[in-house]
Amino acid sequence: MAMLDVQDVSVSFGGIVALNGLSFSIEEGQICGLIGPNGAGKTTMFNVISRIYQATSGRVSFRGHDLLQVPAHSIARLGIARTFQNLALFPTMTLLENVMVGGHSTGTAGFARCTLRIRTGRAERALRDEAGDLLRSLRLDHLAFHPAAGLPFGTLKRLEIARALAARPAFLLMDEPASGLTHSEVDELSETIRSIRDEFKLAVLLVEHHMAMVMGISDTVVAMEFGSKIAEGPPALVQSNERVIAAYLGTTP
Amino acid sequence: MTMPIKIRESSPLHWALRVVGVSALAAIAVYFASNAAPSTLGKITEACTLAIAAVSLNLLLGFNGQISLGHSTFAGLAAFTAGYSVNAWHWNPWVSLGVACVLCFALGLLLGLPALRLKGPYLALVTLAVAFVWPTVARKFLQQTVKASTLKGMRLRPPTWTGLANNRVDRALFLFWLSLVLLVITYAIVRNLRKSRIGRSLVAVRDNETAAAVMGVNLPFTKTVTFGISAALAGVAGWLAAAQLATLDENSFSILTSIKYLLALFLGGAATLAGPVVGAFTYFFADDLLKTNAPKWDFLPGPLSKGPVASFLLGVLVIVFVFIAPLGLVGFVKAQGRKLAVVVPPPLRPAPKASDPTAHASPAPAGEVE
Repeated sequence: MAMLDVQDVSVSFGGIVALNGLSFSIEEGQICGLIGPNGAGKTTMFNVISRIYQATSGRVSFRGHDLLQVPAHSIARLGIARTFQNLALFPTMTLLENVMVGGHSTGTAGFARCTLRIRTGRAERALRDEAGDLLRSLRLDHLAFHPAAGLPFGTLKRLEIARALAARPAFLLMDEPASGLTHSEVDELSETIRSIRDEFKLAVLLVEHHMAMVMGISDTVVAMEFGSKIAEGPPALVQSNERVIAAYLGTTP
Repeated sequence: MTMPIKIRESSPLHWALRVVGVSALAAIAVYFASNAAPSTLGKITEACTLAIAAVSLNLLLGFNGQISLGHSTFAGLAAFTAGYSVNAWHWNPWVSLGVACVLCFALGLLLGLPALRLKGPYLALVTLAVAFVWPTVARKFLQQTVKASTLKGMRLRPPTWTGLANNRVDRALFLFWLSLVLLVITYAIVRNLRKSRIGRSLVAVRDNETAAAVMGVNLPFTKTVTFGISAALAGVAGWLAAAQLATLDENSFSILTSIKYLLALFLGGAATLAGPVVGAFTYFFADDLLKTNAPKWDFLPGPLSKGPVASFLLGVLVIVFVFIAPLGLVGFVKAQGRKLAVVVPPPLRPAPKASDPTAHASPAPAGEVE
């Protein structure tokens, strides 16, 4: 059975249909690219999976759990983590603390235990070590004790990835990770995504406009237009699909 | 040695500095306890009470980003609970402390519910309404239920093990130590919370709610419980106030009291651990100094010369302060002190050797602070 199974999901805001009966699935360890022109509903789909938007109808199951019944703060515990398109970091915290918040779902100490400091030391140290390792693997360790505010965009994008990985996810959702990056940074990012997939053995859902990058690293690609799926399959097939070409370039009447 | 001097966190030097600092504070407390007049001790007790309230507000506003102008109401509820239950029902004052905290926690949770949907100025308005309603509720309560004999604060009798007698001087001494102990406990609670998994999640909620939720922070639970804990700690301040006041009336805990808590917090520095304590003592003694030494401004025309000069000067002082040290006294001192010495966090775990992924003790470059 597929790890993530999206069946017939529709979302409408008032009278506007953002998603119209979308279905696709992702296997464990797979990199799936989600493409489509602006307004196709990619980010909406993304927000349905990360439980920020409510689906109007349809089903989403993740490793046998009905995802639409799970509150937003519980998906991290199921093994789903995400990055944000326009950065959603904690600016006053240091990079290390940002990544440690990313590992919030791996901890258990609640208000009472934290107030009285009952059996909290070991978990804190382990989380700190792990966060430090993640910073190092994304080459951010030299900034570990620097606050996130004011750092360059490319650096913060890598911090988003490190923070998401701290939840030890099996499934990583990345919302336009290449947007705002320079050409060489994009190449580097492709390499990073592939290496974290191999190192952490996770599946990735990639929403991205940078075609060369999506086609280069995805195992499968789902193409959308106006809230519906128009093509799905290996990158080469989707790239040569007539409807996809028409959606991106338009057709001559 | 190059400036700034680097002190590694939790190194022997850092611990030594901590011990020296705490001992110095304790020595000052002992000095005052043995030398100061009861009236001075009473003032320090009042400053400690203000500090407890400011620390409680810091947990909510400084770290969690939820504003409350209703903290005077929590303090008032606790003070009335204590004063009434002790005088009318002859409760043990210590029992009344527990009951007052539980009541404040419950009211805090209740106020935390609208706070889930409201932010910033809108939340300020709702809590402001609560602070406004409180004196009216208190007056009704006083008119209908309370005999004049029970309109008192409570009088705490020092326990026998302290060796203190039940007279005015010893009671002042007892209250002085009690307020210090309660302040230390309140401070420790907030400090422990801040330096833990929960504390990080509180700041994360303040900085970015959506991201915090995606990381697994339960927003409604975290925000309401924080409101409740903050309210319960404000209740400790109210209970302590009831032990100092001769009479309780409906204006003892008005909106002005809330403003005083806020001023103390921002004067010292919100979202820093020591800030509210420093701010409370600074505010209280600046206020006290100005009240006793207010200049007579005879050269001003008419009513201006007779007005509350002390309050006016305090207001000017606060405004000047906001410009000089927008991050509060503690923020200001920290920024200046950083030029002399910085506390460096312990280094990250070194990278494992490439050949043996389980080895941690490699000489690879550790996370060096830039």
